[in-house]
Amino acid sequence: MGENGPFFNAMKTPVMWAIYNATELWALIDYPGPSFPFGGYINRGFDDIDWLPTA
Amino acid sequence: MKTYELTDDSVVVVIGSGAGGGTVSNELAQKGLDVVCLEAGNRMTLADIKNDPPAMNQKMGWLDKRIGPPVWLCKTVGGTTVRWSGMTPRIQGHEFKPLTTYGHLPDTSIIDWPLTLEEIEPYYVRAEDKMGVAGTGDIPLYPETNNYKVLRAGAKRVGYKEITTKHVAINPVARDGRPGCQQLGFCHAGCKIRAKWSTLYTEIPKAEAIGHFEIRPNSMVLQITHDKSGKVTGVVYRASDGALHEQKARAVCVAGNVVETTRLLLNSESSLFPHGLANSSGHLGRNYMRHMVAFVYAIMPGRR
Repeated sequence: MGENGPFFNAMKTPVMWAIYNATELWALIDYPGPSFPFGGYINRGFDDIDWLPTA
Repeated sequence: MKTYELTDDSVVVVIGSGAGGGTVSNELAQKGLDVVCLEAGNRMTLADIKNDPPAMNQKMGWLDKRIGPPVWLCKTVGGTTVRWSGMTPRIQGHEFKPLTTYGHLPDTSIIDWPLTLEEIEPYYVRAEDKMGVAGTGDIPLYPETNNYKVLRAGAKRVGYKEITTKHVAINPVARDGRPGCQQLGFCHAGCKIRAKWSTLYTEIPKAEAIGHFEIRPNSMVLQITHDKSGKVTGVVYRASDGALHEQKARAVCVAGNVVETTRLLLNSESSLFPHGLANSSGHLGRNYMRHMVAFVYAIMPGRR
């Protein structure tokens, strides 16, 4: 059992697809969905992180 | 739009419309040769492309059970260039000599390539120019995304010195009639704005515009035919209505990606070629090689 077991592996793909196909769940998992209608992320923070060490 | 008769044996038939087939079709058409490209899948428009990976997999993935994951082929005009990530690192000099570099490995038939980096370099330059690879020629590097920054920091921490992830066939700025990347983040579902190079909206329309090219979508080639001397005469394919047709040809280019190319050559066996076409070595269908990909999913700090 566990993540290497047949049950987990059989369920992984269908559950993942079920989640990503259920638009009402997206907000709960912070999945923002399509970006094309918003012009992508070019002006919405695609390169804005500031917490990496600079060295 | 140009069309050709099935009996026209002056055409070059190209099987597949992806990176290899789409490109060779356009190159031949630009030189004035007449080309018929047979593509097993549908032809999508930009309107068909959605930021929805599962839905796009249903539209363009090669869903036949005998293929399936982990072989992520596409069955659509543009082939796997619709789905690819645009990664375009060059093979390095030592990688042309795996036997010399790594030595013999048990249960393999590992050999050195009969080519060197120096011989192939001029073609790399041409291919990078056609695809518009960032960081080559006068094309700027692709911008450093958050994902790139995190992976680079991690790679440096574990000791990597050279990190070339920014060389991608995605326009950092507008080029060749296509816009610069808007960071949509759905490259694998097909690039809706055409910033990523795909034969679907580069080589194929260019070939159509020159007037020496016909593409037939939903045309699955089943067999390559030949005459008594062993010279290719054409191909048999199944059209969208299920009917079988034979397209005559002066030459046939096979560019169906690794699984379907191999299968087609094996299925084209005859009394003259009892082990399939192009298989005098007996190695057809063996020595399978792919590049492997690892995905990591994580939540960026500071996002919630």
